[in-house]
Parts: sequence; structure tokens; C-alpha cells
Amino acid sequence: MMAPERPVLYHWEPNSNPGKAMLILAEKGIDYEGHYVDLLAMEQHRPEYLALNPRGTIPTLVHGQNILTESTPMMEYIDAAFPGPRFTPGNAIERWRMRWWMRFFDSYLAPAISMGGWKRFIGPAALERDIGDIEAAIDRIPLEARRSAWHKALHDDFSEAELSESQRRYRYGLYLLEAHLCRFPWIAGNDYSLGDMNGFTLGYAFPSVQPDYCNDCKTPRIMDWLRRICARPAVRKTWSLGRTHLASRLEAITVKPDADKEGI
Amino acid sequence: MPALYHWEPNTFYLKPLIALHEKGVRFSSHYIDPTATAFDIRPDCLDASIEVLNNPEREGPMLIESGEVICGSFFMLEFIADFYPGPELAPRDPMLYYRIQEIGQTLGVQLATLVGPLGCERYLLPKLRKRDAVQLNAALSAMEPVERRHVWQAVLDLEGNTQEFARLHSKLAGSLQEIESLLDASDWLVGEDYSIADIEVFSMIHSLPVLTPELLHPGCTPKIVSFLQRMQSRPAVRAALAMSRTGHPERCFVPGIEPSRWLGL
Ligand SMILES: N[C@@H](CCC(=O)N[C@@H](CS)C(=O)NCC(=O)O)C(=O)O
Repeated sequence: MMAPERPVLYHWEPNSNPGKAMLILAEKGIDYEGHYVDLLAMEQHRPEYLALNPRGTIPTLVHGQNILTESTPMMEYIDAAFPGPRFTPGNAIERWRMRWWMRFFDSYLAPAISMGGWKRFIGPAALERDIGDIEAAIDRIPLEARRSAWHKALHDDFSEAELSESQRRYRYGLYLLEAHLCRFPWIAGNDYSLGDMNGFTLGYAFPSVQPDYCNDCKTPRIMDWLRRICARPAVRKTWSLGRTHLASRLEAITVKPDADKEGI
Repeated sequence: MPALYHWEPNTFYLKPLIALHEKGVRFSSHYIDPTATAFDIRPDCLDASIEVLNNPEREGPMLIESGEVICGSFFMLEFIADFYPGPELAPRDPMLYYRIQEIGQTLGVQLATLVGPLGCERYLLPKLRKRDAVQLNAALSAMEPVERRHVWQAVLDLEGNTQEFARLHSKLAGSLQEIESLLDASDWLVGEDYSIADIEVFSMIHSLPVLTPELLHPGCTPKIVSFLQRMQSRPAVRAALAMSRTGHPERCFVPGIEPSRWLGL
């Protein structure tokens, strides 16, 4: 185990990619220097940040000489490089399962979920910030795929076809996850792991964003899984660092089946 | 004994073949042709039904170990490195391991979305064109999951689409320059030693001297050219390539599902 130097994490909300790094650091009980990068003000495309992470994406972890910018491999790094409890399964088949599911979350479910979020929340909220000339702000974005995402969000330029395909994938993803959680209590198998943390940074929003598709009737296993994770002190601690209304979505998880569903 | 379901030793299918040979693992080889099964799913055919029912990705190699279906070719490499005794194929240092996973997640996915379609355009499309159009469309609309239908359709749509072809071509040139600069510091992609990162990238690009010779030659990518030679001189790589039944693995491509953010819709 290497000398645990105090890491620095550049993050946004405890949501999706930045949330993964925040949660594993909290689970391991690692003291870190956190910097909130305001995604809505497009701070991640400013020269100071690009000097650190030329891809202009959040999160970035700086640990001594090491700079890490891919959040899922970053979680594995944090788990391996720092002392504290381990969240990587001890057997190779479970490690494979954990990684397969993390890719599924990252490449399939997250993009499908995010399209609605970028349309309804990120685009309008960024327009309320002081981002200056919109076209110039878009031009500064280094990655082609992110440039196109911002273009769509700031001009509300999403086609019906892509929105409905995203919704279909979202629901199909819920179906696959529910089926998986019928086989195993946790993503990798028998124990809570990085896979659950990764999934939870998307999953915490399922019940409030997809109340008709993710609820105690249709997806009881997912609801139970979310509640088990939500009860962890590290989750509470991490979500308390949120500054937008996103973090309040955590509350919809704890609403019990018989409670009044209005107001979610 | 583990069982590997694979096709010709190229792209996704080549990765586990090399890694298993490097480890000296004895395995039973089950040859499947995804370009045939894709259009002709016979439920009575064991290989086809196992492939279709158990492989969540429907295409790509499948390794059966201890009753478990291991799929996803990059994760299969990690698994083989991790599970079987034999020479180390992945570093233990957390930062080096991070770099391997970063390559799998960025470069590996990028290459799959570029090399796959370009190879399919050259070699698969002419074969598809010979098929009855009505039958082809019927097979296509029955294809599951929908994402797989989309990538196959994208291959058909490449026909005569010079703009899309040029886009793929120029992105591939960018990826190759990225690889070239990774090879600046060392003979291998991550750290000083050979690893699954090399197997990942080699498998995706070893057909390029034939497919896109204008992008990969000593004048423009000297480091990659010698990397390919270094790889090809490894006994495990030779053994993997020798499992070809067609004699031309570098001509065998299948679209493959590599969903990426908001794209491919
Ligand atoms: N592959 C990167 C992606 C990171 C990423 O795209 N993060 C989003 C926030 S969840 C972001 O930075 N968006 C800002 C932008 O697109 O400008 C990872 O897994 O860390």
C-alpha cells in the first residue's frame, strides 16, 4: 500500500460520474480536498481546468503525481491505492460481473438517462448563468461528443426520435437491472461493491424521474436495493454536498409503498 | 476446461484467443460465424442458441468458465489476466492498472466504433448486397436487441455514403496518432511491460495495414508498425492467428455493439 497522500477531487453534484468518485472516497473514509466545479456555468471548459484535464470533463482526481480523469477506473484506483475497507470483490468472476455492469451503467444507461436531464435541467439552468456568448462557449468544448451535447441542450435541439429511443433504453435498462437483482442481492454478487456505488449515482433518481416505471410494484428489487444503499452513512454524507435540487431526489427512495405518492 | 465461443481471430474475437494462449490455458474452441447466425438463427443449433440466449451482447466472444458466461471482450481480457495462473498480463500497480482500464474505456471503444464499420464496409457489405433485399430487411427487423439492428443497419447505410466514410476515416487517423504517441515512451502501451492493453489495441488494429494502409505505414506511424511486428513475433499471437479457418482473418468483420453516449441513435 502506498503512502496515502491527501487527494484532491474536482467534482460537481453527487450525481453520475462525479458522484462515483465522491462516494467511494466517503465509503473508504478518505480525507480529501474537494473543489466544486460548476458544470452549469461551464467551469469545466475554462483554461485553468483544461490545464488539469484537457478533456474538460468532471471529475478529475489529483493524487501526488497522478491525474485521473475516467471516473470508473478512478473508483478502482481509489479502492486499491488507499487504505480502508475494500469494495472490489475478492473473486475474479464477481470482479468481472462488477466491471461488466459498470460499463453497462456508463455506456448504456447513463447516456439514456442523461438526455432527458440535459434537455429539462442542464440546458435551461445553464442559460440562466452567465456563460456569455453561447456559440463561443460551445466552441471552447474540447470533446466533439460533449460539444454536440451542449449544442443540443443550449438550443433545445433534441429530436423526437432520439428522445424516445433514450426513454426506451432507460426502461429496458430498468428491466435488466430488476432481473439482475432477482439473481443477486448486489451488482457483483454477494457483497456491496463499486458496481453498486456506480449504479446508485444514477439509480438514486429512478423513483423520482421514472415513478411509473420504477416503484415498489414494478421494480421491487430495485427499490429494495436503492433503500439498502441509501441507508449507508457515506451516501448521506456525499449527497449532503449537493448544491442543486438534484440531491433532494434521494428522498423519493425512502417513501414507503403505502405512502402518498403525490408530491414526488 | 473453459469453453470459448469465437469466430475468426480478428477484432473482438482475437482478444481472448491471444490472452488464453499467453496464459497457456487449455480450452475447448467453439467456432461461430456471427455473420451467418445473425441472419439465420436456428433454435436447434446449440452454438447459435447458446450465443443468442446467453450472451447479453448477442455478438462477440463468450467464455464459459465454472458455469459462468463471461462476455464483453475487454472485461474478458481482465478476467483472463486475473483468473488463470501463468504469466502476469496486468500490472499490480494501481496507476498502471488505471491506465489499462482507461485505454479499454476510451481508445478500445473508439477503435471498435471505427474499425468495425470500415471493415464491414469493405468485406461484409458486398456479401450482404448479394442477398435478397426483402429477406435481408426481414432478418434485420427481427434482430434483437434493437441496438444490434441499428449497427447492422448503419453498415448497410454506409453504401455510397462518402461523407460518413470520410468521417470514420479521419477519426481513425486521430486514434492511430494517439496510439503512436503512447508508444513514444516504451515498447508497450502501459508501463514497461507487455499487458492486456497491448492485446486490446493490437486485436483492433492488426488488420489496418490491409484495410487502411494509407493510415498505417512506416512513414506516418513507425512506432505502430514496429509494435505490430513485436506482437506478431509472440508465439501466443501466432497461435491465436493460426486458429483462422478462412486463412484471411483480417477480412472478417461484424458490426458489434458498442453503444456510446447519445450516438448511434
Ligand atoms: N468518461 C468520463 C466522462 C465524464 C463526464 O462526461 N462527466 C460529465 C458530468 S457527469 C461532464 O463533465 N459533463 C460536462 C460537459 O459535458 O461539459 C468519466 O467517466 O469520468
